[in-house]
Amino acid sequence: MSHEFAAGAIDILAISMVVLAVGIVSARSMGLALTLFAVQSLLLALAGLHAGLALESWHIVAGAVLVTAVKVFLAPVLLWTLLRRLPTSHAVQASLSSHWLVFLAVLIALVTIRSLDTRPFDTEIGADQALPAAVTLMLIGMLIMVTHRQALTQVVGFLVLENGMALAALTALNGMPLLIELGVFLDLLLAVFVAFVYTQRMHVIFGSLDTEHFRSLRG
Amino acid sequence: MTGPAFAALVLLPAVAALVIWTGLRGRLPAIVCLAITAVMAAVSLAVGLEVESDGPQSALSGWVYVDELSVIVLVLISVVGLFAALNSQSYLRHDVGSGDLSATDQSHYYALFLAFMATMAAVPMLNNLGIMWVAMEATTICSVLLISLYRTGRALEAAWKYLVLGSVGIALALFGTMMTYYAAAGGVGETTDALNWTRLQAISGQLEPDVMRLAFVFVLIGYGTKVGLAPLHTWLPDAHSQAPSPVSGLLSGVLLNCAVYAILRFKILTVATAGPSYTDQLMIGFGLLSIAIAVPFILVQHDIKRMLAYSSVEHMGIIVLAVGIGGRIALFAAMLHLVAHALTKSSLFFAAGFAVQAFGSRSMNRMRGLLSLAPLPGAALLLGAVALVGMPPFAMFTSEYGLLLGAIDGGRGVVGALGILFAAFAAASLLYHVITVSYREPRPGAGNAEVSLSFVLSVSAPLALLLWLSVAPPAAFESILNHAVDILEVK
Repeated sequence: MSHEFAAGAIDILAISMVVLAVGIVSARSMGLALTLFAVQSLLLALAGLHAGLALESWHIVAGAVLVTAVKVFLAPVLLWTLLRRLPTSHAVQASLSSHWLVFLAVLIALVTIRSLDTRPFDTEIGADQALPAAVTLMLIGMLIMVTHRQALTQVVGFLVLENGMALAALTALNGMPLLIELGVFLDLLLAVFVAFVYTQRMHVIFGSLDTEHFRSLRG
Repeated sequence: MTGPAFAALVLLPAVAALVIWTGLRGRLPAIVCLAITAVMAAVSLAVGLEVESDGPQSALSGWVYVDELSVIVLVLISVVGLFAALNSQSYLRHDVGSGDLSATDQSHYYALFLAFMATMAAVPMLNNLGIMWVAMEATTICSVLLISLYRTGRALEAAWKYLVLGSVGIALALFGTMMTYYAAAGGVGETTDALNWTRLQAISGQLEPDVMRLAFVFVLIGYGTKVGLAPLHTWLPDAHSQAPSPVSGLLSGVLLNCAVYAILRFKILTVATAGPSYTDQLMIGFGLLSIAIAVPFILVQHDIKRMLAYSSVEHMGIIVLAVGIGGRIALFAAMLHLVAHALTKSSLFFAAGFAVQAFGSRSMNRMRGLLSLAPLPGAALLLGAVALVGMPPFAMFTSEYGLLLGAIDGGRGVVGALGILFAAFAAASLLYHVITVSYREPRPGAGNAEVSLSFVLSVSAPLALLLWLSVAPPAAFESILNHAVDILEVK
């Protein structure tokens, strides 16, 4: 695979991931947010695959396979199971209206892409948009975590942030050594599993997934 | 013997944790936990002595690397871990007896305790900064499960905040680690050991300065969240106060040190390539803010464990400030403070845990007259507080004095004076609360609990050790601290 082709493909995939993130920010049901996240992870895996094949770097390809296993299948399925089990409303509750959230997310994207001088990070492949898109994804992930009240969407926000980091790792920063990548995914999976357990416990104790219940520890 | 030591300090507790979790019930888990932490303490001390006499050790084809800086953190983890395991015996006996925890909870507690110990011990022993990150995230997962051991809404709230904020923080630290890899891959090539500390240190002058500066910001904010540096500290008082008290002692005493240790490693690399002024200013800023922000919260606090947790924020601020000030004197002060804080704070949390169980409340208003109702735990609390606020002869006096001296020496007198001033306010507030708890007339009908031998040992041993290191420090201790300063002081 030629570098130019891979660079073009990675740029398109990275920008599509940002567009999906805007969709996740404004999604009105948790199921939709989860679906969009799974699709976003699939695009991430494809971007990694292009980078790995263009550079003939097998540890990046292996990283893409791991992304597919953990973020396209395991994590979404785990959260889906949870969503099915809990008889609460699946509507997303956020502290801002979805119009404002879209506006903020697009603003973040524009400012980051405009202002991020990628000079120290000249990528080998030449995908100019990958790093700005990665940082945008990290910031949008944080936006989701800050504005969404339900425990489950906060987890999705964290996963979007993680996708941003993985995009940076796979495309701009030449990946991480496979051993470390494995450790990172193991930790990620464990963290999501703990969040899964806590969300269930939260439903037992408070009867909903709204983190507004978390207001007793102050000062 | 570093290879076998790694097995004893990391693999042994990890395997034991698995065994306890899957099947051991009854009295066995407590005994196993105590035995293994005792082995860990002995092994880590042996490693410490070996490093002191023969210099840095590496093993397992370079995956494990222990120098003077890591050995300080490692020995503290295992020694404080042993005290925490001792304290757990009486603490859990009380809570299982009162029905707050079930027998299964008790087994899970000991399993998670050992897993937590294994992950913490791995952090200073791993040569590879990427794998160290994996161990650090694993400490979050083990400790978060310990915090939520009590199935109450408050414990869940604390655990959730810790998990969410801790994960975001540590994700940023991973981003910083990836940038370091990017900066290093140019020099050593894209191999797994490109992130090995020993290789990075050797080429630290050639790392791209712009990339390392950016990497350091991410690492400082990321691991700084775990250290509890203000304004990223908000989860810390919740988590440290809701955890079972022996675990609070571990969290405040040694887990925070692990995160400080990680920051120090990256700081050394960044200074070597980009000069000291950048990292120093950032660390001074975060350090001062952390000390200052703790003052009002300690002053108005009612909950004894939250008060101690805010005091941890303050003391981590002091350590980071001292490192930011730099120079031999201040760096030595930082290392000494790290050791003294670990011993003092763990003992204080154990004593506070006793008071909470005896009075059935965390509120200091209800704990009045502790000294007359329970002389031994009361005395431990009072003595620990005296040591914590930096009164001579305890080591914290020396370290805070050293911070000020180092600051004046390095032309940063104002910064040092401000830090000590805030620390003095925090100290006065903490001492006021502890004196109230110790000496005021007890409330009628105040509760009581049995003082067991394991409890007495767990609170008095750290203080005795601290007194020994403060008054008549053995030559090996001073030599290790001095060598750690050599590593920190980038020429």
